Amino acid sequence: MMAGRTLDTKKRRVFDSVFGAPSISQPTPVATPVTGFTAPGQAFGTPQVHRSPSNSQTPSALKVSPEKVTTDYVQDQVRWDRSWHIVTRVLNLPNFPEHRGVLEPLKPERESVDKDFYNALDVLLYPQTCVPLARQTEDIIAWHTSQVRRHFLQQVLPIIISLKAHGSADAVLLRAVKVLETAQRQYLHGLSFIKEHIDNSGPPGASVSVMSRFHRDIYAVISNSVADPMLGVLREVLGRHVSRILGLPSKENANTYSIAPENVESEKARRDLLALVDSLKSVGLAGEQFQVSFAEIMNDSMTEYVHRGCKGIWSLTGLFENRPSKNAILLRAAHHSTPSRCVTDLCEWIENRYAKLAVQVLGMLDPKYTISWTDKEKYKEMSISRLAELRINELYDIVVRWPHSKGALDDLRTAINTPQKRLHLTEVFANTLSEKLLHPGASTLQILQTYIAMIWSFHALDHSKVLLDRVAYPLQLYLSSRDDTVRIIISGLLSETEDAQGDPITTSTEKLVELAQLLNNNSEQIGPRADDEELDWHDMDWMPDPVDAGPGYRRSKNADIIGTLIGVLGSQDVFIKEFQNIMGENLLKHDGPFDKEVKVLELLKVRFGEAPLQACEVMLKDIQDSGRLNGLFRKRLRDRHDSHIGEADTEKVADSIDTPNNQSEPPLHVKVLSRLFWPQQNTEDFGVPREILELQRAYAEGFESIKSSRVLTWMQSLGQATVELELEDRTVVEEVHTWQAAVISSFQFRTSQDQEGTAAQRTIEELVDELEMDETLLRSALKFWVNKLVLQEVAPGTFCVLETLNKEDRERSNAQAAASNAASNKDESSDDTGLAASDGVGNEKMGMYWQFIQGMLKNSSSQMPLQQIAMMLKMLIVDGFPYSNEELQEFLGRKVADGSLEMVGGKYKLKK
Amino acid sequence: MNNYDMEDTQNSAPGALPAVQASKLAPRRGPDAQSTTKRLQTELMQLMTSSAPGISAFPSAADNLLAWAATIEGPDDTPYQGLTFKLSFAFPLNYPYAPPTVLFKTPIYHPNVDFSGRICLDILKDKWTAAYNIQTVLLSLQSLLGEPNNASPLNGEAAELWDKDPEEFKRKVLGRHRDVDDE
Repeated sequence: MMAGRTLDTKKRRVFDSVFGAPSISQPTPVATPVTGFTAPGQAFGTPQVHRSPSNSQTPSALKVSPEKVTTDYVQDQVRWDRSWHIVTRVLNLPNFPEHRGVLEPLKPERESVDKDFYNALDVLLYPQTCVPLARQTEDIIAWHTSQVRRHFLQQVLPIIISLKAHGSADAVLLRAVKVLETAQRQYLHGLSFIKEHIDNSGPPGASVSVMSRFHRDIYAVISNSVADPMLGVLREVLGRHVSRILGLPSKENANTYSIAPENVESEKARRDLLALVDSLKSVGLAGEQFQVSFAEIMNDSMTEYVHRGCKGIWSLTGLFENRPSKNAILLRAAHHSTPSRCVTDLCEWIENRYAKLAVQVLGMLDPKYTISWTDKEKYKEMSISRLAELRINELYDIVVRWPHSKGALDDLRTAINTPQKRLHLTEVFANTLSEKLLHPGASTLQILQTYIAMIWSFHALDHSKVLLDRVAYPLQLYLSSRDDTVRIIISGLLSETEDAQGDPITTSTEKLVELAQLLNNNSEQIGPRADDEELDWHDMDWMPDPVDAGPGYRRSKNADIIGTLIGVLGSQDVFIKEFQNIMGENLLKHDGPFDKEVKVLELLKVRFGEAPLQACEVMLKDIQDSGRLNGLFRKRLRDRHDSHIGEADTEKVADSIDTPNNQSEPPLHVKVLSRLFWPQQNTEDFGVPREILELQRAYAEGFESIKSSRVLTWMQSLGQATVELELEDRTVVEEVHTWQAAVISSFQFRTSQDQEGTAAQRTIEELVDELEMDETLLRSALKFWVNKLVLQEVAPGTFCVLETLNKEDRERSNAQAAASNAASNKDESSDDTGLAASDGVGNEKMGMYWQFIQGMLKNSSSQMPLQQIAMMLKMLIVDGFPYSNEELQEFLGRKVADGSLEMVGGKYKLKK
Repeated sequence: MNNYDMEDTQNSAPGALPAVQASKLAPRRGPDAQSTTKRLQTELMQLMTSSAPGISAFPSAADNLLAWAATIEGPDDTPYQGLTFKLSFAFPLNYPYAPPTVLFKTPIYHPNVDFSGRICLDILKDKWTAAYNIQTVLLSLQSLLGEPNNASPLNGEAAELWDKDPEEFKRKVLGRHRDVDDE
């Protein structure tokens, strides 16, 4: 029916354009059996005044007669139809031009509406009273609603959709809102006539339900049709506003990692957003989809904030001094003695900006929405668990940065409060750990340092150690596969904590200084753990055991790093053996009270018991005894030779101070080692200078007279000598190995024999004969002195003393002196490697290989060809025999040359 | 006995768990060929790096670690002074939980050794424990040369002569001894 009417309207429009239109068109009556023709000059269909009385009479005429009824019925129907026609004609929606201005007057203009319209409207609104007999009546409001709907879909929607194609999101949204506003104004304008009439004629408040139903319908149409296409634009604009209000970096400056404080800009953005929400709401776009979008954006904002504002901020610095009252805003669960900066900031942000925005926007959408206190707590909880997620992913770096990352651990401790979260944390961390650390690229030292940092960090995170145990196992397993773990731990325990200037060394790339510091600070409780902790009624920080603790769980309060390292990585034997080796080296290399060694020894005794460490005790005692013996002998020798001072000690080590000009009395300090208790010492024998030999002999006599049952064996190559060389233009003082001293001293004697002739020249062969020293060792010593600019190689294999330096050399020498002051220990160690790393079969292991060969030839078979020896060595030495047959042959050749072996028919054989 | 065999744990190939640590990490299993071989290798290294004077031992062949040959030099101030004795060691598969079978290959005149070289020594029989090793066995045998256990002789005549006629004993020792060469 409506469609038919529209068609009519269109036809009439065509007609009117040709013939001119009357001011108001008339409906063609559906049926006009009783109406007469319209009076001349009167517009057809105009409501006739004379009708009114009959209208009013109609109810009374109802029962008059059937004819009369029929007539009345027809009259009522006609009247209805005419009223309908008038009203719909007036209210018909005009076309909607695309660029229609907001201020353009709305049609129909209020002035153009006359009384006829209201009379007609009266008929339509109250058909029961006005035209009771009309059989076909309709709801004018439903008609209006449906014409609005059609109008919107056909004319307004295409405009809005076409907007999307051009312009920025802001402009598009603004324009769309304007269009919708205009359209809506138009729709409501038509309705307002009806509303006014209802208000004027009907009972008070009758219009409210009509209006609200209309609003509901039209919003439904708008949000169903517009919201979807506009969603992208809407989200973009919303997101931008929200991030500006919350201080998050926008897309243009996404690189900045800071949260902007609240300022004019954010206030402006807030106003803009609220205005936008208001207008969206007024045009019906603030429906469910808007709310979902807003919620999603807020959700993303929180994550964004956590990532921007907290990532990499782990320190505790400058936290609470200036804002003591901030605790009030913390999440209840986050109340803690030291809440970290990030948690505090986060809670503050949620409280002051995030929740505020949520309250404002939601309050605007519907006054019924309120954000309660529990909601705010919920926001904080959510944000903190997001922070925790971030921290879990950062945990490896946090651990590595210990102790500069305590704040981050506090964040985590606040948030990691369920077994699931704890499990998640350990899983993520274990993965990172094996990815980043447990591979051949990481040095053992680095792994151990990380392990120490892990122990600290996890202890700060969770006193119960349950978490640590879970992540540390793979690390321990991996460390056990590293050969040098134990050595690094022990040498770390024994390392210096202060450098030459007395400044504390905090980190080192060579040694595990951390352990020595721990040991020195005594911060660690050494000894059995306090097991009666459960009974400490005064412990206000007591916490129950964590629920996810394993059955073998034992609480322990301190981090006990040394204990953990010693207890977990390697067996007791390995530790003790390694300790013995390193302690042996230290004892031989240095003098002094050996406090550190004693301390470590005590520590190990507590852990392993006295018995296994007996050898170490003996070693320490040997050194102490040696000191006493030295004193004794010095006195005795002084008594004996008056001017000859010699100090001597024992089986193995000679420490000599060698002054070339004053040859008479280099003091000799001897360390006597009890062979059975000391680790195997590799030593090279060589001829020591004569005066030293005499001192040694004197000492040995004295020693054997005191301890008759013991035999003294000298180990010449262990020990140090202080050498002072007076050359023509300079004096060189060096702390060197004994074998280096022996080599240079042999130059000294030659010089004195030659008198003032040419500088002393020695060939390697001469020196080998004279010193009975292994050639590799000799070469290494010569090289050492050449580097010190004391000797020079005048011809291959021939060396002489460099008595005067030319200018260049002098500069080099000065530079060297400066450098060696800075790092005096360095070249010592490099000399050691020089000793071991020689051509062919190395010195260091040569002794062992020789033992193998001797054992083989003595027991297995008295004579063997080269191949068989090589094969035996390769198969029987656990670590493998790394040398080629040629190298072995060369080595065996040397043994043949020195008379230990003989060659019989291509087979080697021990010489009897 | 001091074990200064640091070499074997310090320089093994990367990746391979050193024996001591490996056994710590893995649950202890019953003796098997693997652990016996390992143990013998360790003992060999130990013997080579810290040898005691007058004794030496070495596997007879590279491919069988269960058979060793050993040498003992007769201690000074005993009838065996200046003599060298060769022995064979045969290790059971469950070594060190069972003692090796030790025989003198060099003919020896001794109260506790019979003419086929079998030895009567308690630590090689019922007193054996896993704490003993090749070196301790050899040292015990070396001391047995100087201090025979005449209470339970395998060679009664020798036991008798040891006390009654040292001269005759020494003569018999030298008479019986002859160098063997295994080739």
